Amino acid sequence: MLNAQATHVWLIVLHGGLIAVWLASRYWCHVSAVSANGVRPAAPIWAYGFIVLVMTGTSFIVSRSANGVAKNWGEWLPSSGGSRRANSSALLGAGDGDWAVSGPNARGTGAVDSEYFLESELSSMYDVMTDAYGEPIPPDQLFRAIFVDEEQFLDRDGRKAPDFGEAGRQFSLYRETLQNRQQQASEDAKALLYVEGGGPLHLCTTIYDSFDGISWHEPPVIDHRCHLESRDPDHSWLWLTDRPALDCLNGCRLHTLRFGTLSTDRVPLPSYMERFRLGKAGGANAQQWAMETFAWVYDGVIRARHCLPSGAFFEVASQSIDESKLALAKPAILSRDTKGDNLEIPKHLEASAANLARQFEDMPAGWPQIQGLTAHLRQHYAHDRDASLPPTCDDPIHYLLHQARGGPDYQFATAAALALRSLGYPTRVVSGFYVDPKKYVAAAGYTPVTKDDAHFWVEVKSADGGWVKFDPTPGFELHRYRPTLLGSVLDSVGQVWAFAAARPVRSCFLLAVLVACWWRRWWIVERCLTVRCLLAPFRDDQARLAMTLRLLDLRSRLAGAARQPHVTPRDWYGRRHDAISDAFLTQLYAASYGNTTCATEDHKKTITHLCRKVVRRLSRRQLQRTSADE
Amino acid sequence: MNEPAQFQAAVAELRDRLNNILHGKREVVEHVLTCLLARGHILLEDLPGLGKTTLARGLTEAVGGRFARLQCTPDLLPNDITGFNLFNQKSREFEFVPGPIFSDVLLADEINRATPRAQSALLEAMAERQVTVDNERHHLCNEFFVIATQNPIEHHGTYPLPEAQLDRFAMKLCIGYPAFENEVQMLQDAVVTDTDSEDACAPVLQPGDLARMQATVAGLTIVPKLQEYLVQLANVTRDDAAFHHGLSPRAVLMWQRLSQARAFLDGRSFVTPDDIQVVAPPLFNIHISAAQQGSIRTVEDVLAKVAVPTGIERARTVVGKGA
Repeated sequence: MLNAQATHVWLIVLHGGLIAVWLASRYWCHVSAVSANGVRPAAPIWAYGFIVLVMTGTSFIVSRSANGVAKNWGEWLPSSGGSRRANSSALLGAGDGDWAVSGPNARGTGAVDSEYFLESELSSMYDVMTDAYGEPIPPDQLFRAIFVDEEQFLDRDGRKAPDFGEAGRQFSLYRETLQNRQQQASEDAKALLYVEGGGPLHLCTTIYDSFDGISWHEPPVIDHRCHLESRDPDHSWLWLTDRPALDCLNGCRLHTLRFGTLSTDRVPLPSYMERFRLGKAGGANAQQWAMETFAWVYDGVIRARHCLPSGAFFEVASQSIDESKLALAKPAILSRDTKGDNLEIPKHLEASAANLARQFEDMPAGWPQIQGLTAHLRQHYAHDRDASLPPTCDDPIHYLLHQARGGPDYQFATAAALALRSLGYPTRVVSGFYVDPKKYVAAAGYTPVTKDDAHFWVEVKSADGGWVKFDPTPGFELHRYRPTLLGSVLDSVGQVWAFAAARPVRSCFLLAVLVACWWRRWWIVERCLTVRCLLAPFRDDQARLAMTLRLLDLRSRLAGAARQPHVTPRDWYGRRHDAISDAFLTQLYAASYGNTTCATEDHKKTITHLCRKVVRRLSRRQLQRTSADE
Repeated sequence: MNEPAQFQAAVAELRDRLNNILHGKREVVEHVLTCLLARGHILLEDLPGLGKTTLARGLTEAVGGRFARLQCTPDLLPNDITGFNLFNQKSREFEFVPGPIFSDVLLADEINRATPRAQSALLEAMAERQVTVDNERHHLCNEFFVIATQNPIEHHGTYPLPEAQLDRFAMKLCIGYPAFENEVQMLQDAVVTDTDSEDACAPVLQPGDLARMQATVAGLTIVPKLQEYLVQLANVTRDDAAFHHGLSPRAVLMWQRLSQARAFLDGRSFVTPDDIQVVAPPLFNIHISAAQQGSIRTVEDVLAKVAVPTGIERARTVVGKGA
């Protein structure tokens, strides 16, 4: 069975073949060729047959499969790798053979099992975070004059030196100030990633769910295989099927990530990724290959079993948070909890967190509270990437809010996460990269992501098992879903339908009333105007006269004898209807075209009386009768 | 400023006098009076004996001015119209002998029989109200009014008026045959006594009345919306391919003045769309060049393409210099 594209090709070629035959026959008709014996030779049927053969053969080759050009004409068309059929290793060099020819992604280069691309297997983002935020200060150098419970105390006391085995899986809030920030910022050319597509974008690499007062810790690694599904015919896109479906998501954004100097097995991906594809991973076995290559580190972060080489392309399609949905479903999506995971607050920080959270207790529960907290932090405090917590400070929230009145993003994220935990929302802190639209390089068409773009934000757990992200740090924007006009209309229709379906009897009654009103709309308008003309006061005489004329015009139209726009009122009403007194038309004309205004009470009364008389006597029925007589 | 109401008695008397002269032709009489008050000139196109000359003479008698008749023939010379300089043997000087154009109402009979040279002598007089003889200008009276006639059936030996000269006229009217009862009335009126005829010849207007009325007409109010309406109508005639050429700005000016005169005849101090529409047919007769020139259909088609402004007009301006 032909697919749509092949059908189009067939139709075009058939059309072209018919035109070719028609042109050839017309040409032959006008050629005055006469043979030696004076007989006109027969038309060259074999030539027509050849034309049709070429056209249909071409269409057959082109439309035999979706990427038939590449399959069948591979050796005929220029490409760097040639077709796999001629040489099975032809693609290994540049990897753009079939892709370049068939066209879905001409630059496709992905992770391969080739030794050529294998690099060191660094298993964490430790180096990136250290370069971005500075070295963590070892715990034994922190002077703490606070009460900590025995277990925690012993645990920390027992650690004689920083545990570098765990260092990559935690993030300390106490860090040394970076000295060489300027030098790093100038090295944009050696970006970790290059992102094509609209910003801003949050790329998630690490999740921290527990906080001990000093460091955020990652959850246990599950290392679970990704469930991927290929749904499109060319098997290039792979859909993530084992993620909880969030109700508050909407839209679809496409981004292309090109790996630069980032050396990690963590794949920095948008939080709400729904599908992805790799350049060379297309093909029938793409699904199996990807499921072997990618695995969940834990919920929300994917790792690759091999390092993604510099230059590898990763196309991702992700959704965005639709705030209108969050605002509509107030308690349903973001619910408070009193017990469970992601709610612990270190004891010595409980007071500070509650103090910050108290300002938002009176707000409606759910997204408004989170928005209130975010807005508060973003409005009243400043982002300072180079600031750091003094080792003697034991309350990072208090220090951020009342002493420094600003700080780096991880302090904002910590304060927001703990304040929301104090309100009862399960939260976690997420780190990764922020794709800043301000850094977009228009000439190159991408946004470079460097170590300076390392960033922390917060996610709050939703009732359906997913996580809703928000960014409390000033200067960092979250991409918000902006519905299209059609989408907004459809949403509104859907909401109205849902409202009506919940109240069928009342809705039917309302619908019947609306239909009746629509059916008799001009009658209603005429009644309203009549009441207005007879009872309501007018600004002045001119307004009264104009309204009366408008009413007469409407009645005439309803009576089937509408006054044409080019006919004057005197010509129409004065000559057809005796009821229209000449005095009314004289007053109307004097008000419309005259140069004197008479403001005496008597004059006003006269005009009021005239207008009312006309409105009463020249009814719609009267107009109808006159019209019928004519 | 004089109000139209002050002159209504005189206007009514004038109207009655003309209606008594030309029975059953009220609309023609209204158009003639409109044209007189608007200081325009009339071209009457009709068969002989339908009352063209009677109307012109009656109008002159009613207005109280001097009447002159010019019978146009192919041998008519411009000096026969304007006058000429005659050498006075006694005073040994040239003296100007004014022609028939130096009158208040001039009846140019069968104007299309005059040569173009003679016709063009009328041009300056009609447009500028002055004539130039031997490089000397002579002003005509302010109320100078031309009623020209032409015969529509005999085209042999005629010189059709050029467009430029036609544009100098304000209206073209056809009187037509009278109705049965009007014709009977006309016959009865023809049996008159001597005393009756003397009374009928007395002028209706006092000297200077006509000039004051014309000045009042020029100062009547027309709101900007109606002026826009006029220009929109003119643009319709200019844009429509059915017309060879549309209304000229001079014709639009004349249309406005005729509308003002019509409002004056109705005793109003402001112009209404009805005034504009009612003077349109005789105006179109002369100023529009179309395949079906001046037909009722043509006028209706043009009027039907522009909506009448009926909104209450707040910003008003008084057009004309006022009296």
